[in-house]
Amino acid sequence: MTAHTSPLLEIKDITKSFDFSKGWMKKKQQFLTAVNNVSLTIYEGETVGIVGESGCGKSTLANVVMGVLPPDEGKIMFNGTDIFSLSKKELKNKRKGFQMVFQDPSSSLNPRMKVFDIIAEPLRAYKMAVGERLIEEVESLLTNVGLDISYKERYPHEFSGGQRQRIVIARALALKPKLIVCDEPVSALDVSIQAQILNLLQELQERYSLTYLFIGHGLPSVHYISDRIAVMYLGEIVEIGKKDVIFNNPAHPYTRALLSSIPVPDPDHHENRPQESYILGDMPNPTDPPSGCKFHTRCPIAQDICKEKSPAPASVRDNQEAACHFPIMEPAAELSQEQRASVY
Amino acid sequence: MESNQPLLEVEHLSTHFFTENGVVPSINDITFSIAPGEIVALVGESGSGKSVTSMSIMGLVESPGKIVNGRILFNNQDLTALSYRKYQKIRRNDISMVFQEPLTALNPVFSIGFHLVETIIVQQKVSKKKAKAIAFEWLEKVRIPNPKEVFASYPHELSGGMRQRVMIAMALSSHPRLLIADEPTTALDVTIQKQILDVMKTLSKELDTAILFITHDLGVVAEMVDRVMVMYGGEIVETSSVKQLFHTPKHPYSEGLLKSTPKIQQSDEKLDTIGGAVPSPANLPTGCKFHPRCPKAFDRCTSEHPSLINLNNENQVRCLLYES
Repeated sequence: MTAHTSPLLEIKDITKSFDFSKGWMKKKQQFLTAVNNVSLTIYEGETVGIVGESGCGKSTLANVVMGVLPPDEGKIMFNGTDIFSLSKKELKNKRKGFQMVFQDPSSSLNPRMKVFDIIAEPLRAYKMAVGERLIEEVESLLTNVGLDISYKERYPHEFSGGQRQRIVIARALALKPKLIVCDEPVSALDVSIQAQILNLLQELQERYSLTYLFIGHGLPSVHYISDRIAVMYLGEIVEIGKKDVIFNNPAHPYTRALLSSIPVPDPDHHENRPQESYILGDMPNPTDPPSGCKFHTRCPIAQDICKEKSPAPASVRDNQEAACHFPIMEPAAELSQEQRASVY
Repeated sequence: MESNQPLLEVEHLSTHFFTENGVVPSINDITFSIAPGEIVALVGESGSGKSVTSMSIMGLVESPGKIVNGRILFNNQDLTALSYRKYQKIRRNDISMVFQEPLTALNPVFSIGFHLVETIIVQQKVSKKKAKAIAFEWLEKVRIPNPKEVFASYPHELSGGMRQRVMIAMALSSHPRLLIADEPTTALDVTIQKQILDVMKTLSKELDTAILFITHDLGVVAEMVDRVMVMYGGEIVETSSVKQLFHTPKHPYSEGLLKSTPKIQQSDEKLDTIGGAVPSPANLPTGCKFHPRCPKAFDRCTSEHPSLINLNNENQVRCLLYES
């Protein structure tokens, strides 16, 4: 991978909560803190994956990064500029640099527009190309995402899920962005198509030196595409590090539990596997999160301090930070070397 | 063989949909059997016909769909020939189903307790009081930590995992011989998925209930089942034991599917992919349904439709490469 030098995106202490207060004059106060004090720096040319269960705040974070949702606290620095300090017009200009790919390609494409107009729309909005140039540009984008140029005259419903996602990617690429935020881009696709899209994203990254913020709950695909992985739980990043460190030596008990829950596509693994401990119960209600460490209600190694004090992120090893009072230092014990290789 | 009488035998089953735009052959010539207590997976991508197969077994195929050929033998009784009432009895007592999205399978205006008690009264013809006791017993069996609260709550108040547990409790409370689980964990997070799979596996053993597990996740397959059937384009293209499928997949499609699943150790290499897209059941290719995407296809594949070839007792494959 390329050496990551300068930071492209800095997420600084972002907190975003939603007001769910009910009743006359909002007497029953209720807030959902979807993202709580999250900081993350993404360097040029790298891919950072965010994993977590539904409701952990990963999509809210993506929307904040895109400048769609203003945060309650904190800053989003893109290329050194705070995007929320900009005027609407300036933000529009800036947004050329960061684009988004959504989960469900059938709802993010206008069914009444032809593929040509869908891909040309950002170019027209920013007056980047007209006439012949526009046609050329759209055709080259279609070719780049592996679609035939004759498809430009068709409508989205004529395509399969994988092809639609390619159209979405072509549209995101149209403005030559530096950063693409991918919010679960393969979750809605069939297994054999997921691999095609993941490969395409990787090819495009090499060709255009793109930076990705890749959000997913499918751990195998996140692992496949990312350089670094951040694990989120109830609005907080509980662990972050190089992907292999995270997968081989997870220090946070939540990461460990998450990894041991992935079904491994190897029947032998299940025969020899000792009964693992995994987390019980559901995620707590995010409107009423537990005190202290938010994971303590489901944590197998929780102590008294975990109920009272929220742990700060601290360095565990090189390239690995975990927010836990009792980070697990020994390598994942329940997995032997060989088994670890087969975990996906 | 007498001692090992299969519980369910599906023979040459074809279900077609007669739409305004022509006949859509969703499944064709499906043949398989399930032994009592066995857990079998039906694997395939969207449009491969897995759900139509399960709906056909449940007798829930609605117009314009129709079973045009084949028999479904359950305990030696042909389900396709049954009257509605008799089918109802089988669905009530012997075959249950768990769906992918539990929220749509539960009635939003009734409490969880009502759902369970009603099901149990209809199935087991017991008093309301007795039914309530049985309901609590089942909530505990599916490892719901706070049965009293859950009993009184409404579907929307529960998390996806809890709802799916309730569905499993409802499905298993009649001690069915066969449970059809149509992607029961696809909508759930991995940590919850793991708990649900565990519950299903334990209860299947305890009750000696066979499970037909429909999924597209090969990891879940490896974890849950004994035997796998791979579907593509409305046909079974390979039947195999789990181990054999993962170690030596026979059909090029099974092989491609396994290779395109990301694994940790090959993270920096490119993923192998299957080119093209899953064909729509309305517009299937001629010959072998997989040939346009198959890396090993040769000229005969375009015109000749392969039949299911017996490689050995537990391994069948639908591919011209294995013709002897």
